[in-house]
Amino acid sequence: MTTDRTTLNHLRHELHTPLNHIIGYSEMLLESASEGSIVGMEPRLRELHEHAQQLMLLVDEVLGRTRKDNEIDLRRLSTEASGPISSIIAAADELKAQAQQTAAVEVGQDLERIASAAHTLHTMIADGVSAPPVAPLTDADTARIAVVPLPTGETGNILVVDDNAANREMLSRRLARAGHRVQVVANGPDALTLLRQQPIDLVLLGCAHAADERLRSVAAPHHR
Amino acid sequence: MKKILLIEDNELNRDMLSRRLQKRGYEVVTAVDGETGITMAQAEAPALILMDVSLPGIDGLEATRRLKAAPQTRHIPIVALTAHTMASDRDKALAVGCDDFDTKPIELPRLLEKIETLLGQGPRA
Repeated sequence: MTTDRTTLNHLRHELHTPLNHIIGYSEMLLESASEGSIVGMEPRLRELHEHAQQLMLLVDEVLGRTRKDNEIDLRRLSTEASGPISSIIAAADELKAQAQQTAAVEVGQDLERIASAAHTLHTMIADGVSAPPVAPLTDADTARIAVVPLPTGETGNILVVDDNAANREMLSRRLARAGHRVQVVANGPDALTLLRQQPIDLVLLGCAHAADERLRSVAAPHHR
Repeated sequence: MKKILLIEDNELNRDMLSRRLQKRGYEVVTAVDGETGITMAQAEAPALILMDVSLPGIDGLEATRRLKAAPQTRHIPIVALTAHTMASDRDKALAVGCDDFDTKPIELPRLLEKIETLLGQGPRA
């Protein structure tokens, strides 16, 4: 991505905002833990806080070091940020469940804010990185994708497209439990490849990919 | 109890900072934009103002300029809060009359130190 200084500052600000929320709320929870008003959460909170600090360093390093032609290495950002972001979401969700058990409402709300900020960050980074080029599907391809509405109670072939491993895992397990045949892929190009090869009844597309024109072309016939 | 007016448009930043300051014994009132901030500074007579620089409508720099021009509010110390770390932002904030300056992410001990220096004492004195 080529950019000027204003865009760069804007981008940095956009990425810093959810990061500041994650760092700030986790610091507040850590303060409560050190005062003893939150029990048994400190190690996970500390991990979460460290992941957020690590992300902040990564963002500043990637945005600070513009390559030749003012190009930002968003691909590196996307690759290296996904691990810490997933860890933050997983830790926040786990701690949230723990807070629910102990009826710690305010703690639960703060953890929800952390999880939500991490999701925002994830979407922003994923949207900022364009997928590698892949040939759009032809009419012949889309014609082969089965478009048969399933009667209630019946099961089908579902393709889950999500770059978050935890989301893929969760969704596919729940769908499989409901009796569906589920395939998962992490990105748009893999989804297109699979759609060419197999009949799929339904595609569940992660938000980050919804902006992908090529995948929209797959979804379009279904919406008629 | 010393009263601080926090002018910040981001809801979560407002929630975080006001709760953290309250926990340390300050009374906190909040405003979401520059115009409301100016009105509240007049009505609430806070001991100090924390001013986010990038606000919708009248931005933090302009709000500071107006507060420092009005006899009723000119004595209230203002700490500018900004996401940018460039020296020019600091200079701009000081040029319009801000008494001090801090950058996000907020490091609470650092900000508290600045607040205490400007107030002369802690929250309850």
